[in-house]
Amino acid sequence: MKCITSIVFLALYTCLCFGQQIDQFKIFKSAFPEDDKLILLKTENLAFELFDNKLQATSNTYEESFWLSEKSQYQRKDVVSYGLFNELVSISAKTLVPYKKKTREYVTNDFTVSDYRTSGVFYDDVKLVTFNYPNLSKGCRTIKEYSNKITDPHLLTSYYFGSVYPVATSIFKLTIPESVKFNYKLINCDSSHVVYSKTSKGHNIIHTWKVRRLPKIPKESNSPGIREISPHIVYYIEEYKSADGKTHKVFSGPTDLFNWYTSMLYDTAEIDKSLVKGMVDSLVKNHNSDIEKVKSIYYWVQDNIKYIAVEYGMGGYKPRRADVVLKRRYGDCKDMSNLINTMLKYANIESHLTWVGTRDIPYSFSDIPTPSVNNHMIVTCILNGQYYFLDAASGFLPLDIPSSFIQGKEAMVSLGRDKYEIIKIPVVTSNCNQLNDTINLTINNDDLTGTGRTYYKGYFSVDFFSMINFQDSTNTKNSLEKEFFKGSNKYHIHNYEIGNIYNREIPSQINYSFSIPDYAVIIDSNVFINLNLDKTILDSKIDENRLTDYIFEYKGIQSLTVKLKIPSGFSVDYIPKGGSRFEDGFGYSIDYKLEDGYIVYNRNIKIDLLRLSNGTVRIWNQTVSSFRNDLRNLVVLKKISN
Amino acid sequence: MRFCFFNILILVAQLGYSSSIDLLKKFDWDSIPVLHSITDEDRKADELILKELTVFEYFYENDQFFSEYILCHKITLVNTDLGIELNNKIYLGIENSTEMIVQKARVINRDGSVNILNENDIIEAVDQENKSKYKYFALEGLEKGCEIEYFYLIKTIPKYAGSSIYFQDEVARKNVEFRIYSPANLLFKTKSLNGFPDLVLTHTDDNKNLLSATIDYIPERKEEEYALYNPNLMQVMYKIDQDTLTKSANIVSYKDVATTLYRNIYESSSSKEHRLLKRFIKKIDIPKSASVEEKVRKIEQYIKTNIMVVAFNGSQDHENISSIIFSNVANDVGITKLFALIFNELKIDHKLVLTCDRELKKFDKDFESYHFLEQYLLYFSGPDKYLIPTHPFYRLGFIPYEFTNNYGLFICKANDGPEIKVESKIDFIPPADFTSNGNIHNVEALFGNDLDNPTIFFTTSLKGMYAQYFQPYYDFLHQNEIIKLNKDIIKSIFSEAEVMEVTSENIGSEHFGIEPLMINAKLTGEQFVELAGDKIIFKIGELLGPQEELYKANFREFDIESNFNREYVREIKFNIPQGYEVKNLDALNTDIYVLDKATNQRTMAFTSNYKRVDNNVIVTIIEYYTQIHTPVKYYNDFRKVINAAADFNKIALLIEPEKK
Repeated sequence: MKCITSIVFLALYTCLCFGQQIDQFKIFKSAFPEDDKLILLKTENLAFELFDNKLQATSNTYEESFWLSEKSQYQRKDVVSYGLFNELVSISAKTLVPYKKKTREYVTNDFTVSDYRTSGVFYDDVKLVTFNYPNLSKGCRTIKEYSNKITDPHLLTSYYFGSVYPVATSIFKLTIPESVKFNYKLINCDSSHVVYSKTSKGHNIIHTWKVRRLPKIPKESNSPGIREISPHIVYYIEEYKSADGKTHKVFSGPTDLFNWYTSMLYDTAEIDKSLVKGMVDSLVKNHNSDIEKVKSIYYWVQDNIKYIAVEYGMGGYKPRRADVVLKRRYGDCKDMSNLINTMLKYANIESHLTWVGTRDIPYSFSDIPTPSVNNHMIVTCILNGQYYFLDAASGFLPLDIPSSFIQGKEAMVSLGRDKYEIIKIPVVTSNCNQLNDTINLTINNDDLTGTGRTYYKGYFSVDFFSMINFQDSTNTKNSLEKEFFKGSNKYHIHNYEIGNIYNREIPSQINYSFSIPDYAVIIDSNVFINLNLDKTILDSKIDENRLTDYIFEYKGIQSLTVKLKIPSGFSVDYIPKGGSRFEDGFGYSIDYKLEDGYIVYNRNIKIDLLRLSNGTVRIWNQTVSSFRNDLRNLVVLKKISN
Repeated sequence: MRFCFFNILILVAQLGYSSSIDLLKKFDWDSIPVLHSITDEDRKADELILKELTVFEYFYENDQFFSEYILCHKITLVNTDLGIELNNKIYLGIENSTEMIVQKARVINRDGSVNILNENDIIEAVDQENKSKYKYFALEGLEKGCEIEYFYLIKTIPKYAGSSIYFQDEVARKNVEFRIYSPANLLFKTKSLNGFPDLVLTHTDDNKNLLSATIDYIPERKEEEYALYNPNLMQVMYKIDQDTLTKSANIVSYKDVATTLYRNIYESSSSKEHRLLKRFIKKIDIPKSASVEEKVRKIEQYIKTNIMVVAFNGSQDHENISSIIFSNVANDVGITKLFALIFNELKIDHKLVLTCDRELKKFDKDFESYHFLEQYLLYFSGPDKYLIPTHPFYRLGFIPYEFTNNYGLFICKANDGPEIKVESKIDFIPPADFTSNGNIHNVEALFGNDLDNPTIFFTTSLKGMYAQYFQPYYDFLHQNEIIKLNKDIIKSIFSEAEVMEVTSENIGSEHFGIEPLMINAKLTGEQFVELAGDKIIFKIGELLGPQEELYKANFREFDIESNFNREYVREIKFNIPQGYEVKNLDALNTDIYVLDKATNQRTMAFTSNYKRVDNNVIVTIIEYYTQIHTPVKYYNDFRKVINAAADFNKIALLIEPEKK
């Protein structure tokens, strides 16, 4: 956690103490010239109580801000969200407008409630309360307060000390009965900046964490998730004793989490076995080996069950029945996983439902054994001791690789009603993800014409599949031209043929013929050609001032081979010498060769890391500079004079 | 447009028309669905609408309330995964006041199996903020080749003062039918556009008027570049025209509504309001000696930087002058009122104008309809300029292009007497002249000893719409954000160049429309040079910045429609390094244009030429487009001009050592 300079806060506190006499706006503005607002105080008071033998909590949130920008009048709108498990009990908001030497108070009256709708989730229980701060302009203060009721101790959230705006003081207060055993983890917090205190009041213990001077959370592209960069506290209940003397386990360790999840897996209703079995039989009847059966079932579900997420209430945690999903032909990750798992069982293949978190969640099951560790479900299939991670929500994934967004993550594999193991999903090596483009090029008067063949392996293939599949089928050629741009915007694909589009097992492939008019520069008797025909990931620099690491979706190798036929009547006047640079985790090589009447250009790019630390960005950019410089070299052909 | 149509009175009939609405309410699909026979052609598309019926029925509910029922019945063939993804979720957004009578859907797979939507699976989502709700659901059991049958019947507040319904989009349709039923005394007027058949009037057995049309096939329409989309689609405009009971004709007319509109804006309610307004004007601090144009600018700058415009949310406060001045918040009507009343108070001659977005509909001067009256503008005949009151980032003389090159209803007071008489006429709102929207670059590539890395000195000067995208927003930026925006503007032109220095001039809304936004930068020039031993290729064409292209001779359906008239002026200078020579300077000469034969004037052109003075070369490039609309028959000529700029991008000069 980095800290805002103390001088700034000295000014701030001077101002808070003697605010009426000092022009607050000038002081805050000079301290935060680049910010739209400063959050003066941000607090959450979370109080647990045992009620009717159940543990529930009330959370009171308070946020007071000082507005600094000309934009303020356009930033009146604010939103508070809530759901079934943290119902909104009350909300209020107001603006404090400086008026002469006093302040005038304007209270918000118009709160509107709307269902939250996003493209990713079809239906859930999240609702948004929208309101405006009346008469807001720069120099005003605003206060919003709301309280929520938390009804299920399994579904607690986290407290984020910071914000996308700088925060002067942030306090999280937890009031909890003595009989409740809880735990917490401070994440991204420098312990020397967190002031912790513990007091007791009656049968309750009050824990307080206070942090001052929090800089704003950076918003940067390809950055790790908010949980990795923002200081926060994750708290959870381990167990509690109710008035009747009974001990209720909540999450004292991964086993409790597993048991809680498992309690939702087994539906009492009888499933329509014949429907599921019938489908399994029809899919596996022509396959003898288990692996072929798995592929047949897995790929069928990927192709035929569409992703539609209905996350209402416990539906966010509980998979729907396999027969229902099969009949509906849609579901979310849990539904699809449950269907695959059930189908594999009917095919007598060992498989297990598996909970996993996406890469933006930095928690481990042992550190934080709560539902906040994971947000995804897949199926782990074990064949001859080999683990496969089946994710039907990732449409075109072959069996041998997990989805890119769970690489390297811990997963909890259910091995039965009371048995589980925690394993690590592998990171797919760069060798497994390849894009190889081979082009034969001829010079035809002023134009370049050629034929090419591109192979896609691993995640490159997955991306290619989804690109092709979600194109308007009448417009594929135009899309291919845009997507696989070569040379210049005159690049024109004449014909193309996509191979292996429905076979995830072998690299997907596209063969194409093309022309790029006016690409070669022809002056007098010389022809100048840059054989580097396309753009790659190494063409882009990354901002060296970024504060967070840069995240890659996957590792990979990208190669381009261009064979230029030396036209008759021409000789080779100049061939560049090529170049290469390999750093720890990324690099490239470029070389040119003369081979049987052809100039052969080879370019290889390797990205062998998933995360570029912000300290290494400078080396990345040096590599990009070197790469770009090597790409500037041209091949020169000269007309042979008679 | 929101205003009270109190001059349209639909009399509640006491005639006791028979309730044939029951027939509509009883509408149902075939109890046993029959799959359509599908041709090979039908199978090629991701999706195809096999049947579409749309019925509007205007109806005296219980002989008392005037209502409108809308029935939509559609059967869609789905052929591909994409087709399934596009059709397996159905959303219907309706206003809060609309009542859903019935909503049914089923999926019929090619094997004949049928999945009927369970009523309990229909989800309702509310959106209190936008005063609407959604009825939506996911369909079960979709397989490639299936037919999705869907219908709904809603009861809604009747729309009869003018509207449009579209029958064409990106999906082709077969068997399309449109009907409008109305009580015997109410006659509707319609106008079909872009090839949709005219509606024919007949009478039903129960004495209703029925306007209807059918069409066997409507092709899909994809978006085309440099073209309008919605206005080119098959559609029907409709409005109520006559009430035979009251013997009123031409019910929806601009003449009548103009007075209402005028009163809505100009009638001030109290003397207190007047006092507040005068105090408000005082705060603007307008110099007495200011010209009309200067006064208008001063007022506009003050209002637009102090009053926020919000969407209509039912609050009358946002239309009340006292509340607006107190809270600094107004809606579209409120802000227009504030402007108009101030101009009246200061006796600044102007007219109230209402028009619509030409990208969505062309104001039809021969079909008077209130759905064209969507956007307020103010017109000042003195300086001959328009002002848009509702958009904070525009200024006098520059309004969003979509409200230009369209007709509008111009309203003003006809007399000075106590009784308000209003004058109105339909007039054309001309687009801005091409020189007003200027995009001017001055570029100098300086080759030093380091031949392969020239330094680029660049200035861009943006006027009109090109400045509007950025210039007013500088008001809200912190210093670092200003630098970032300046860099981003440069990066949008030269993506790979390193920006070594950057400054900007004339930033902020007060300059917009008066002085051009200027960004000056010093850049690295490696990206413009390629190496070939002791020679270099100088990619001078790329110093033009990225250009649009229309290289592909795609099938063209629609007329050409530019957003706005515009000109691009470039001056590119470079020095030929000592001891080097340039081979092919003549490549820099181009002259491509379209001539209007009637006037012998160029309507669009791309012209470039160079001059060499000693070792310095100066290339001057001018590209311009002087008309918004060009008939499709000139599309290839238009392409040539557009492509001339894209071709210039590819010009490269060979710089090689002088031969001794």
